[in-house]
Amino acid sequence: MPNIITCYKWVVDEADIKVEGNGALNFERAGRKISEYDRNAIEAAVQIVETAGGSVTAVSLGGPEVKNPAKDGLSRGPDKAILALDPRFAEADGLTTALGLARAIGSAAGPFDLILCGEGSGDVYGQQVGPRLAELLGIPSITFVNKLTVTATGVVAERKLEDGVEVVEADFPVLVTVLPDLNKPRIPGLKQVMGAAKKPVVVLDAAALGLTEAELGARAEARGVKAASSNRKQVKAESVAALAEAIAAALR
Amino acid sequence: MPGVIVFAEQHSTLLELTGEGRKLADWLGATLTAVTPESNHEAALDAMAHGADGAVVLRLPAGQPLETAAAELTELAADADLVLFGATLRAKGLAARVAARLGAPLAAEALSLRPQADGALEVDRMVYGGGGIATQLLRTRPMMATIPARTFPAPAAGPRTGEVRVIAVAADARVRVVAQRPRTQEGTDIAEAPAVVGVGRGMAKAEDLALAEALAGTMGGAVGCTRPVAEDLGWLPEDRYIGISGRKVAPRVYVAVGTSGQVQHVSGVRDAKVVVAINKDENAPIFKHADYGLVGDLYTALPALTAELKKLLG
Repeated sequence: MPNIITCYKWVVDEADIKVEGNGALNFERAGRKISEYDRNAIEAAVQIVETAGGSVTAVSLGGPEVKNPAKDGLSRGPDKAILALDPRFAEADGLTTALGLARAIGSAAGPFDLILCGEGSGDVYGQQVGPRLAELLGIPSITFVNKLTVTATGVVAERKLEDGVEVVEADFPVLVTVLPDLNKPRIPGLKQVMGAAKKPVVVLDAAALGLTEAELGARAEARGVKAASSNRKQVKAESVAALAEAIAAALR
Repeated sequence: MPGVIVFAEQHSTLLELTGEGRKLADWLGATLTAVTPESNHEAALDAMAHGADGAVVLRLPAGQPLETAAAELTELAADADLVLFGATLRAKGLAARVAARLGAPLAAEALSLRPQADGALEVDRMVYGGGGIATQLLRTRPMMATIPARTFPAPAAGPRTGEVRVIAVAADARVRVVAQRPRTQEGTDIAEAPAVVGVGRGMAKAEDLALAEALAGTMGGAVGCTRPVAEDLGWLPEDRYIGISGRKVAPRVYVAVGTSGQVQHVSGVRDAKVVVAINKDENAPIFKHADYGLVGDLYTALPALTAELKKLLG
């Protein structure tokens, strides 16, 4: 009956991002959602507990952009949520996020066997919070997992890596980051959505998490985001022959 | 150790990072050390002929994943100015664990590193699925970043010599690699091909890939695809899909056929020398990301283009 923690991030829906004339990005009309890969992590946690018993605690960190962070996560099956919310966490990088999550888990989650995270977030895709969090908690991490089996004492995980599949066994407690092909997240029904409101939620700010100014200031200095520009010529070819000429010239 | 440290699992990436690391070490007035797993010992020696002042190989116990080396690598990196990691999947986890130990930011999959007058580094990386470029400044030591293969050019060989030091990594009994199932490479590595034809869902059925194969053949190239073609439809193996979470290719010519031009896909061909697009929808975003575009039906355009290129290229 494992106690599982599943971490998720509340991200902007990139389909809603508008590009201004000067290349700046406009997020004003952008909706927010749970990052896609995190849904696979939540689903994996809930499926394990449906079979083996135990508990699932959802944990999330964010800033003022996070409006209703617990409801969607809880409607997907976890029993309770811990939210690390603070204006200082706006656009938090991997360092700050992992530190905040580690403090939140340490202070409010109780003993755990397994932590499940997405392999990267849908917005900045830094692919680092999972292993960072594991290091801060002093446990091993197994990343890029698309097949996961839980035993009485640990996990057997298959990692999809560049050179093939690596099968790794680890004892509890362990952190695993998951790939989207691990499972197909179920869409919460009305009953799950209504039930989410009754589940306990703990909210902790930076002070409650014991984060110092030095820790909050350790992140790299952000120097802005702009639209990825296209420097392509955008020439309209009049014929297949013209296209062939252009290709042949480029290959010479 | 102070100075610049570069780590990579792959030989070619280690040399690329050594070349860039040498420039950055010279800028900082520091030494350069190349680090790699002991199984890659040849690369360590080669790095010292390509600009590294010294090399270290990590001796991993059997059955231990690369990430176990975090403690030993942290000791090496603790007083470095800069640590660069070749961004393989395993190394990303290793880099993150080292960064956590050191309380250091980590710029993931940096596109470029720009030295600043005060010893800081300005770094760009892609965000929002390839739709945006985020810039950040690394300043506190050690500055850390992961770098994809082929971001920097391979350096020229030089006359440097140095020592290869072996560092034994202590095993972590809590985690064990129990099996490896190597992936068999089917056909060419698209990242090596001089020309790539990328197909999207404009292709009606798997058999139609033959049209793309024929075009790729005339150019001495290979066929790649968008993510749905590999992951959802399964028409091509996963090492063919090009995009933000797939392969990045930088061929002389990339021909996008029947793909609408989603940023997630297009970001995989940013460094292609020339991009050509064929799509029947004149409003498809792909045309904004192409040097030459042809609005037309791929089922007539592809065979016609293949025939024309046969005449021109032989």
